[in-house]
Amino acid sequence: MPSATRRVRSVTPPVLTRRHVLAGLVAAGATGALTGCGLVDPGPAVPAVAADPLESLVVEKQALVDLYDASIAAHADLAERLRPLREAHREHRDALLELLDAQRRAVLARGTPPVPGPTASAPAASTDRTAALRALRTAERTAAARSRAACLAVTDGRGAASVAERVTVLGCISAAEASHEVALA
Amino acid sequence: MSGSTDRLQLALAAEHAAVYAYGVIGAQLTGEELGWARAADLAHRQQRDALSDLITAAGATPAPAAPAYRLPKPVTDRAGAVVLAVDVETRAAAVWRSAIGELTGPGREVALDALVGAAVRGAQWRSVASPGKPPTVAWPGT
Repeated sequence: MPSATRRVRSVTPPVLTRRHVLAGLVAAGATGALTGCGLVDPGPAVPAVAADPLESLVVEKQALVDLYDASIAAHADLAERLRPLREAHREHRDALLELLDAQRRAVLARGTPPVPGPTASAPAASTDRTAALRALRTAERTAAARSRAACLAVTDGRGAASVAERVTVLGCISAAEASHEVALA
Repeated sequence: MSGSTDRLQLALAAEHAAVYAYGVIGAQLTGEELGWARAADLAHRQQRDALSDLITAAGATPAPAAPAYRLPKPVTDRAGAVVLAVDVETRAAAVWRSAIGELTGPGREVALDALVGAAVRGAQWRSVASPGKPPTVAWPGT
């Protein structure tokens, strides 16, 4: 069982976020204890399973998918180039979800809107083609750097995933994101 | 440690082969593509050296390069050269992908840089080997 301090620290909201996912994380803080197996009551408002650092990456991959959606909608002539990249981010998001403990995964899933589509906080794509591509390149570079840092930071396995699995998935994601710049040139 | 040393030796064998292959590839290329081949050759030499250091640090002996390597196909022109370059980087990504999970500390960083480099160069070569097709893959090394 993780310590109480670690739990408190671990509920820091992710940097990149969408309202609905954040709502899911907050809800977890409020209801997580109800699902705990409690011979020893962990107290109210404490999640039974501590938040996972990969959760913010899941949110980030969703934000990338949203940015690609917006860019494809704004620039039909780029669609063929951008679709495979968007699909890769979707696969990465789903693979990261698989690495999470089932309970944390359920928490994130609860925060997902039942009907996919743009929300109030969905990113806008520039109407200028060059600027839209530049924004995607910047987003990819940031994402690759974060995935890289997360890969190097893995020290323990969580949920069903071993350290090796986490490192391999994060390393591949970082490599894929770095390679996307070639397709966006 | 022996399991990860085996994987490092496999990666080292792939790096030796990549250095050999880029000698053949570069001979068929000109201009920008020759520049890519030279940069890739240098990157693989650096990875080979970093790997040799890791293997030595783990108490094993780095396997030497073979005098020559059998290529999947004879390379006689530019088209064959870029196809071989795609193949080299695809294989490099695969060996590094299978090694990275076993590594920690500086070893993991070497593997990550190599995996990222192979994915980026693979995309670069695919963009000229198969223009009009997506140059990237969602899971480099798989």
